Amino acid sequence: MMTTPPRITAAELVEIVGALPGVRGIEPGIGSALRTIDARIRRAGEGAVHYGVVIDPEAGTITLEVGLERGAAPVREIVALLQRTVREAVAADLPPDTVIHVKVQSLT
Amino acid sequence: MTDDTRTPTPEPPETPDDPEETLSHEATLRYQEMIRSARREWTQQEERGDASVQLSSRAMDLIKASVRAEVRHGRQVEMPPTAEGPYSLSELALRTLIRETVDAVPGVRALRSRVDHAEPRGERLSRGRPVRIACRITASRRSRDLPALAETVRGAVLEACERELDLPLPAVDIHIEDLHDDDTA
Repeated sequence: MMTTPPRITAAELVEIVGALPGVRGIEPGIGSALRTIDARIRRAGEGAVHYGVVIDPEAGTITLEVGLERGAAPVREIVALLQRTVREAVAADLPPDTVIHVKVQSLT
Repeated sequence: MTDDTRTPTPEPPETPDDPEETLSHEATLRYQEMIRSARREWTQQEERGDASVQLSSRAMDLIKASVRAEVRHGRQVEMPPTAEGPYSLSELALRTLIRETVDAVPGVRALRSRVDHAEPRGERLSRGRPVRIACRITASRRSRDLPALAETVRGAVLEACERELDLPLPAVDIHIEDLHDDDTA
């Protein structure tokens, strides 16, 4: 089944995520970094992947790779805020059961 | 006894018996062939003066930095999901949390920690939830009651895991490996 690409882009989610309290910054692993470069080279799917943010409408997932600020709030509260904010941001574009997986890469 | 001086015919690579290992073995062979093929293609393109195979130096720097970051982060460790969805913590982030919690106990410095994990439920290569954390520490020579100090450290680690990660731990082991003078800690 083909899924319509979401209108909101991964780059826009990067901005939203980076502005949240307790989030130190986007911190991609090798997987999303290579997927971003690959999308740029192929000029395909650039909206769905940006360093540290991968939107996969087929799998129904959004993966976020972030570094958090230590001590700003409990880790799980920052993560839940992040998930809630992203869910609201994509509400018009993706099904409500979209899984938002946060990978906390560092605490600094 | 015969003296066979012929060059022996190379044996074909052995295929492992274990199905999982066989898959890994096949993936390795496919990866090696892909690299050989890419190298041949790129060499030919470069010989023709075709610059399309060159990544910008910025892209190369990003790839190198992300490889270094991946090594630094280690694997992802599964955590109990929040009310909003799943999340995981890198081994680096978990170690940071443990080390800073231990260091915050007066008279104590963290040396190293080891985490035992349950079986992972999610992504391949991820680690399951922590089931046991072992902390090796050094204590101040001024500490009068080392067992009580170890208990304080254990409580601090348990409390941090519960507060920060909503992670109830069945076991935290504390091993006092050394004593330090306060001015050198």
